Amino acid sequence: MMKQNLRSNREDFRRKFIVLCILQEYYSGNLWDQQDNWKDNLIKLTETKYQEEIDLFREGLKLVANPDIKAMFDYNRLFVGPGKLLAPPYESSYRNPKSLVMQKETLDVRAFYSTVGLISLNQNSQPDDFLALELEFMGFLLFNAMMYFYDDNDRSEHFINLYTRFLEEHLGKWISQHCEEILTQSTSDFCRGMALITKGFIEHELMLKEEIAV
Amino acid sequence: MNKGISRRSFIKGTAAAGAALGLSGAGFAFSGLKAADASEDMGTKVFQNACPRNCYDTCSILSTVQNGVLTKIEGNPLNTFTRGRVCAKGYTYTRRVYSPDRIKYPMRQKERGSGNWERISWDEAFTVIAQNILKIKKEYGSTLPICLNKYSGNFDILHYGIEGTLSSIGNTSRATGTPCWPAGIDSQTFDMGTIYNNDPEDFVNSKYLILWGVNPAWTSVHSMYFVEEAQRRGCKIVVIDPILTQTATKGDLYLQIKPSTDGALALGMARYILDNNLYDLDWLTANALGYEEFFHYLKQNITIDWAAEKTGLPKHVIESLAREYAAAKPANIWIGYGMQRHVNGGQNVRAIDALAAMTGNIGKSGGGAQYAQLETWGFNYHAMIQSKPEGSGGNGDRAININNFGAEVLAAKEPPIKMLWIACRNPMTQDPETSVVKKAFEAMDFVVTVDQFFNPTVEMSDIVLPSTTIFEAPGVNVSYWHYWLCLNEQAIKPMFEAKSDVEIAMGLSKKMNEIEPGSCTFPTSGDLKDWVGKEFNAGILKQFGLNDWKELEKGPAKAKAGLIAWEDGKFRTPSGKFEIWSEEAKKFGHLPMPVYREELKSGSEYPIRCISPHWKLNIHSQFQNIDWMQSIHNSPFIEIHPETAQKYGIQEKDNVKMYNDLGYIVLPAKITETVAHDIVVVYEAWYKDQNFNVNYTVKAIPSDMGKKATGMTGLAFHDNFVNIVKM
Repeated sequence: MMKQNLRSNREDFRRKFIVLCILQEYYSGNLWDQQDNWKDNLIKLTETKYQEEIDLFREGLKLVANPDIKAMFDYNRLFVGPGKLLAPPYESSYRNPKSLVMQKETLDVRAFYSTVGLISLNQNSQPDDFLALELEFMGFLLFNAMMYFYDDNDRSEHFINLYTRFLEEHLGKWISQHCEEILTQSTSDFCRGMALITKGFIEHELMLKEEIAV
Repeated sequence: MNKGISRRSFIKGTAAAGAALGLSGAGFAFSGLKAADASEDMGTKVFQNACPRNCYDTCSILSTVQNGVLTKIEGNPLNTFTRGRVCAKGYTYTRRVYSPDRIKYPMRQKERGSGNWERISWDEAFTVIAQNILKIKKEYGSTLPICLNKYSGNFDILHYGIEGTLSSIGNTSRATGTPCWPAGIDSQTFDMGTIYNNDPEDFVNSKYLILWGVNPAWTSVHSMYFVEEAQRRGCKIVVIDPILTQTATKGDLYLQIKPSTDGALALGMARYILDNNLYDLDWLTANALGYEEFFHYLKQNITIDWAAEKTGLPKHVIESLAREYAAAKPANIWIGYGMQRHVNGGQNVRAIDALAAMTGNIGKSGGGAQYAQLETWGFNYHAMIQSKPEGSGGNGDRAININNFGAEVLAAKEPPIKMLWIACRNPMTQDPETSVVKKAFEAMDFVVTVDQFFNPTVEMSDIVLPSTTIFEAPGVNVSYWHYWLCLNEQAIKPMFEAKSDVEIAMGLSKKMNEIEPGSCTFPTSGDLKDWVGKEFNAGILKQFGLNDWKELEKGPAKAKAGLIAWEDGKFRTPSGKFEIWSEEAKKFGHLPMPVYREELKSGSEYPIRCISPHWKLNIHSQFQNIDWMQSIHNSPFIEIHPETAQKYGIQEKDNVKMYNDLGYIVLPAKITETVAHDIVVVYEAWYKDQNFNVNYTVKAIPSDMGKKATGMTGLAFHDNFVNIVKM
């Protein structure tokens, strides 16, 4: 049943991967060093055609044309500092009762990474549940599902199951709240747009997961 | 393959999008993740740490680290002073390290105070700082326009590398002095040659103990064990304080003295002791200089009636206090820092010292006039002492009064001050006259602040650099009170991109020398643990009975000798005696004897004295911003006596505006009889994201002493006169 569903959505893998890569790049902060590349990203995002299925994605796309310096200052207030972060990009900030990083919530994510033999490059300096890492991890799982798609269906399915589980147990548990914080606190169209895209995309993924489960 | 895309084209198609992730060949190119090695389980380890805060207790800590994550801290039971416990503040350390609010990366603000920050790399930060330093040096011919303001945020010995950083670039301006305790330091320096207290664990040998203007139940919790143990063994505990503190509630006798009149009480007691022949003439003859003159002064000028009127304490209470104190052998006095934050604070401490001397209590176990000690601080200061580069312009460093920082920075001429380097300090919340300090920041060309949390000082900076917590870099600590020496081991990797102050200095030096070879002498590399070793010398090893500093990896060590101050009777004054008459004091513009100096009195416009003591859950601007502290308490208040409140029509929790000609604060009333009628109390603190700062109303009024030992006079924080009105 599941295999059928995945096979029939093979094109989706590519689309999802593109979105995850761009979101990962956005949250890792690389964007601000390579703003010229943003036009390419915008084209890629548009080509996924998610705007035709996801309302928030469509709304978001309209806002993200111009990552200007005001957007960067806003981005730093939201995710980087030096002040109290308005929308911290860490799972534990939403799921730990006191919003602390490196607690059980972070270590659970670490443990999840280790089930496929991965660790954070900056383990114990960068919290494992940093959003850019969680997105990278999702991308990795998807990439592997894609890799083994033709040669090893079981293996491919294993990765897509992990993808679904991570979504269900981690990213999907907090991303909406995180994006809501951005939408409340942000002063730039760009960051609001990216929040809409992120929220729209991940919520769509969660919805698909439920369909698969049915 | 027919319907979708091939793997190859899939990779090709996403390569541009995945710039960060990247994809190469058939593999997934990682960005922030990597394949794990088998060896990455680090297990559980316990490390030696020390609390380096500006506090009597300097706790020995054991920290538990599981797989590289700090999971628990506890007191180290091997330290017999801190006895296996830390304080409420210390227990929040795991929260500080992993607070989501930490400053994570070097950042640059586009316009000071704008809140528009961009993240920069360490290399970029060093470049910008180096360029600014070199530009100033070129323009002014020296680095004197660069001013350092560093003080008590971290007393770990390696943190003196901050002073070293500035020395290594040339002659600079330095915030000089100390806000907290200098008047008392000078008093004891005039009287005995330096500050030197008995081992506080020796309290248990006292028969009588006066806690004079000190609140250890809040500010030195470990000392309270020894105070209470003394009490259990029959020692009478007397607490003298204008505020009925938590310590006062533990005493056998509490005396609510009028603020700043402590000298009058000591002199009144001295007169009684003199009149009743309760003094120790043998001790005075052998050890003291000027006691005859002092006795003459007492007889001519001091009466117990006068002391009673000055202090607000009944005559019979002063008499019985004097009688009991003189009769008990040994009798001890702990002189707090609070009582010397007045325009006559130093002179008052000298009067108390004289009281201890005339009763022969100095130099004895269970006796003494305890203030502080620096006997255990004989390190090499390897990180601090850096040579100046060749051809440094200017003739030595320039002192800027730390206690009037804003005004002196603004007034500095030839050359003016153009750049600030702030570390281990938060002048925008802790200095008096906040508005002037802000003006000074505004007038700068360039401000660098090194800190862990965003605060009003960071807000006024151009560059902020994230610093390590005590668990993230090695160091070594001693106390200015107890006699323990404790290693601070690096227990975890620094979070985010934090660096220690010494690493920052190394990075800056490297960059400066790249841009202009020879412009900075600070070593450009080195192992911080080795740097800890370089702080030790034969003298300090011998003092603590160590052959090698690495023995401290097993646990803290206590000094082997010198635990009873002045036991050998060799005072470090010019005469070698206890100088009740001090020519040295005269040289610094004071009266040679502890003659009473009038306290500052309130006027009609500002009839209420505001005392701004330490609060139990913070040290200055540290700790109150940590979540556990916020859960217990997160809002300032003003303590007002019920009758005063009634007079002003104020009820519990009413918003009260406290103001004077300098500024105002608005905060809720807490009505309590623990304060006197003519006093309000507002505890000094920095509350995250709240516009509260008692220093908006505090003027930079100097205390009487401090210049000799610390370079500058202290601050009369508690001579702040205000008015209040219900909002």
